[in-house]
Amino acid sequence: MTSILLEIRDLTVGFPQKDGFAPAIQNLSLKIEQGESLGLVGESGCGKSLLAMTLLDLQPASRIVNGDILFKGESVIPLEKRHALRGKDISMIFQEPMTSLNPVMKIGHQIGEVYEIHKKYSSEEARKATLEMMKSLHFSDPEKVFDKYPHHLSGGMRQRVLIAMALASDPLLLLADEPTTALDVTIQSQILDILKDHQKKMNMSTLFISHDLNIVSDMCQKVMVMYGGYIVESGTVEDVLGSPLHPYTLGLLNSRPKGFHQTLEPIPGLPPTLSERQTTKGCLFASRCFKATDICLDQRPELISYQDHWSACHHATS
Amino acid sequence: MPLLEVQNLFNQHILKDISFKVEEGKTLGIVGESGSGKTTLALAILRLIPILKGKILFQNQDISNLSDKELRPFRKDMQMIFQDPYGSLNPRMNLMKILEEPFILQKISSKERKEKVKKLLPLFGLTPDALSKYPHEFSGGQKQRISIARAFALSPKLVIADEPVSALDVSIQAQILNLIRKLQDTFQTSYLFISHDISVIRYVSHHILVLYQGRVMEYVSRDKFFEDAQHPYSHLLLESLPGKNRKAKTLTESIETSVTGCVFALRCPYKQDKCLEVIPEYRSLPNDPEHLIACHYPQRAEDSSPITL
Repeated sequence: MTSILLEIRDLTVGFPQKDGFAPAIQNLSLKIEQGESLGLVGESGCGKSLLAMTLLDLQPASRIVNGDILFKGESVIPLEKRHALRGKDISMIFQEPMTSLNPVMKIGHQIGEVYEIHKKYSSEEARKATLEMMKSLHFSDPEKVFDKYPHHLSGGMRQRVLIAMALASDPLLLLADEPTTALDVTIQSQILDILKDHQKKMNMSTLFISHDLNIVSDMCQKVMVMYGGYIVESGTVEDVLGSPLHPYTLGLLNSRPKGFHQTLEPIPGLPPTLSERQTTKGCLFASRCFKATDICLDQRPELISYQDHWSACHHATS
Repeated sequence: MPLLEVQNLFNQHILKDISFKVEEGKTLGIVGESGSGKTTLALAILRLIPILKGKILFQNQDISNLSDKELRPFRKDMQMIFQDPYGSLNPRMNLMKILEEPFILQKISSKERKEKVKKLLPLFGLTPDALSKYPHEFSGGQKQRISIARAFALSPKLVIADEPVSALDVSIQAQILNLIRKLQDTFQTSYLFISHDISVIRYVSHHILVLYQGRVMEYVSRDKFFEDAQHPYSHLLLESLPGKNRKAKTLTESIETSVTGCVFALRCPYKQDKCLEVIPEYRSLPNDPEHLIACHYPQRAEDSSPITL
C-alpha cells in the first residue's frame, strides 16, 4: 500500500500589503506519495519556487493566508514544525551551485556538517560517510575533492556537492528547484541519473521544479502546471504532456523547438503581475489564450477532474 | 566566398587550433559544455581579447592583426547579443539613447539618427511610446528585443549571439527565436549562435561546431549532426538530451584534465592507447570533405536511430 507523505490542502500564500495580502499561490492542493516524483512546471513568477520555500519557511516575506500542509499526516503549519523538517526530513537543492556553497569552507566539511548535525555523527564518522556519499555520486577522487574549496570545482561538481548535502540526511522528501538548469547536458544527464538512483534506493519522494518539460517527462510520474499562482493542469506525465487539456500547457509544448523546419508558436503576451492577478476577474490566462471567450473574461475557472486529469479551463473539453 | 573564416586560431589559455567558416546568411551553432571556449571564441573573433596566432578572415580580409583604429570600419559589421538582457543595457539610458548610441559612434547627425531609430522599432516589435522608457520598465523578453535591435541598428553582416535565450522562459524564448530567424531571412545576416540547449541549436543552425576544452571536435551540417555525428563527444551530447529517450550513461568526471593526446580521451568510451598519446588531427572524413572531425576512430553512434527531441 502506498502512503501519502505530503498533502497540501487549499493553500494560499501571499505577501502582506497595506490592506490584506497580494496572493502569490492560490487555493493549491496536492498530494505526494512515498517514493513518488511530482513535476512542477510554469513560467518564472508563477509561484513554483515559492511553494517549495513555503514548505520549509525559507521566504520570510510571505505568509500562509489559508490552507493546511500535512507531512506524514501531521499539520506543519506552526513555524517550529517546518523548521524542524529543514535539511532533515525535507531537504532542498537550489538552482545556483555557484552561490549556494560557503566559499571559505572545505567541500568535505560542508557535506560532513549534515551528518554531524542531523545524524549526530562524530567528525570521524562524518568524514567516512562523506567520502562514501561522494563515491556514490561519481566523484573520481573523493579524498582529494574533500579538501578542495568550492572555487576549485566545476559547476557540475559543485551541483553534485549540493546534492550530496541534500541527500546526506536521507530525506523523505527532496525539493529540487531547477537543479540542473545551470548545467551542461552531459552533466545534467549524470545528475538526473544520480537522483533517480537515490529515489529508488531510499524510496524518496521528490518535488521536481523545472521549466523544462523534457526533464519532467524524464524524471516524474505526475506533473502539475502552474500559472499566475494557480494550478491550471495536473495529472500523469503521459496525460498532461501527451494530451494537454489546458491551452497554457499546449502553449508551453508548442513553444519548444523540435526541428529546423517547424515554426515556433510562442504564447503571446506576458504572465500576469501580482497586482494584475488581484484586478482580473476571469481566467488569468484569458488575455493570452487563443480559446478565450466571454465566459473566460468573466469567471475564474475551477480545477475540474476529467478522469484524474485535472484542468482549470472553461474550454478544457472543446 | 564565406563571410567569416577562422584558421588555426589560438589564444593564451583556452582556444587551440580552431578552424571553421560561416557562409553569408547562414547560422553556425556552437555547442559545448561550460569552459569549452564558446564565449572565448566569440570574444576572440570580435578582437575583444588578445589572440596568440591564427587568422580571422572577414570577407577575405585578415583582421587578426589590425589595430583598434584599423578595426573600426569592421566593428559596425560585427555585432554581439549577450545572454543577460538585464546586465547588457545601461540602466540610466532610455530606449532612445540606447538605440541611438551605435549611430553616434558612426558619427551620424542627431536628426538623422533619431529617424533611423524610429524606423528600427517595428521590426523588433517595439513601439514609439517605449522610446522614453528605461530598461527596468521592460520585461525580460522586451529587453532582449532591445539588445537585438541595438545589435542590428547598423545593419551588421555578422551577429554573434551568446546564449541569447537562456535567461528567458520558454514562451518568450520562442518569440525571440522567431525574431532572430525572421531577421536573417530579411537581411541575410550570418549568425554565430552559442547555446548549450541542443534543441535551440537545431532550430536556428545550418552548421554545427562542437567544442570541447578549446578544441573543435566536429564541424558538420545540421542534418548530418543529428543523423550521422561521428565524434564520441557528439554522441554523448545527443544521448544526454533530457526526455524519455535519454540513454542513461554515467561518466566519471575527473579533476585531472591534462593528457598529451585527445582532450576527450579521459571521458571517451572508445578510447585506445593512441588517443591518450597523440592529438588527433582535425580533418575531413574520407568520403565527405564537408564533414570535419578530430578523432582517431570516428564512428557512427551504436544506435543511430534519429534523435527525437
